Amino acid sequence: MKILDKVLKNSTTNKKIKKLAPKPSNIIPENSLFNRHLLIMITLLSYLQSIILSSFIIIMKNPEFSQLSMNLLQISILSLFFILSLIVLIITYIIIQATHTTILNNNSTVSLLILLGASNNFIIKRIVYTFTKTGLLGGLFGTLLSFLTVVLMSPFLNQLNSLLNEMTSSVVIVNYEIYQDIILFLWIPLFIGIICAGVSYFTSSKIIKEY
Amino acid sequence: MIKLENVYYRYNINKEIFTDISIDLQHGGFYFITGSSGAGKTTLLKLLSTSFMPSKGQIFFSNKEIHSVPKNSLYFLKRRIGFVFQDFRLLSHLTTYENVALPLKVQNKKENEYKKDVIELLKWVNLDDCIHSYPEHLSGGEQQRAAIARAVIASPDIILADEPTGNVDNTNSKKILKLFQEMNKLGTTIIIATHDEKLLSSINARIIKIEDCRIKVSE
Repeated sequence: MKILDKVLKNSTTNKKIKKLAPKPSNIIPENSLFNRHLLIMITLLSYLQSIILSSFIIIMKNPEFSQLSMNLLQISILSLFFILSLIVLIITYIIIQATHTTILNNNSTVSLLILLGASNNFIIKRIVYTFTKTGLLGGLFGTLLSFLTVVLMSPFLNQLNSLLNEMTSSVVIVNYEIYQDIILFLWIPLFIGIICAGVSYFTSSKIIKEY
Repeated sequence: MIKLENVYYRYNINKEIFTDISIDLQHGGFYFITGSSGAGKTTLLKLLSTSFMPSKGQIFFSNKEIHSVPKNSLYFLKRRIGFVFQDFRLLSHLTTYENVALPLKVQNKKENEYKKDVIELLKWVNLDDCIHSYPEHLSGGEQQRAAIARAVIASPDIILADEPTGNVDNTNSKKILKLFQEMNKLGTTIIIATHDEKLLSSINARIIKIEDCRIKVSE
């Protein structure tokens, strides 16, 4: 009974404290509409990145791919890197612009924090956290969507291949090995998260220094 | 505590605010800054708080010339100053509790360490009913009291207050002044910019009068 009383007493005290001081809000507020748009854009870009990579893996696994000439192989790999770099550049540009907008929108909050004695790192940390979170989430959604697309499309791709090559179902384009390779794409969210964190860190530290 | 030596400050080429002003504000002193509207009371407070840098001259904070302090280390000095703004500058997306706790939060203190102090201070300034209220739901007087609570919560060495009794009634005005006097007794330097004649005559403090871009300090 004593233990029960103690537990009840503790929970009542905790409730009282929670009521007096609820979970704190973000010091630098997140604009939900702006963040949603940013999340959608990063999701779409990471979806594009994952779908291009999965298509490349599917093509590579095709026996006909090895019969291509060396030049064609090099060109296709180069094109892949070019497209992927372009996507990374677009994400970088979006994050630079978004960091500028966030700081501009919260100009009064940032100046007040500086007046109250906040270090630059204190402010930068909060901005970087928001963008890293968005990057990781967007990357994860995009990759999962692309994985889902490959899984759903595989029967149609097999049928299409059979029709085009007038072959039997002995040639399989998408098999379970490919799924295993595609699962490796889960590093993409991490990669996008790192890009978002790095870019927002350098951009925000450059702007905050001017305050 | 803070020393201004031959300080000049101008907004632009045409508008000069201060011409060759020198002042030595002692640790534990109580000062009023007075002058006509637009004379430069707020500018002087901002110079004292290191928010503005002088166009010419030197400012010493605890015998340290502020130009010699690296820009990224100035926040250590700012943490020793509590500022009450004329327009309160409470963050609209934070509750009264969060606004008051902000100076402690920026010092990376944990909530367990300051929760009790913040609540006690809010009770003291009669804002215990508004702990969860956002600034838009507070009256002018309540916002002002929250701003004062935010300035004093971190026990700063200096409190700079810009018209702290501008939006409060007589009773609350006296209470705010009492709070400043109590903090002064504990060794905090208080510098208040005000127009309020009643406030100027209510306590024995040194008066810094701004006139024609210069300052005069009463004994």
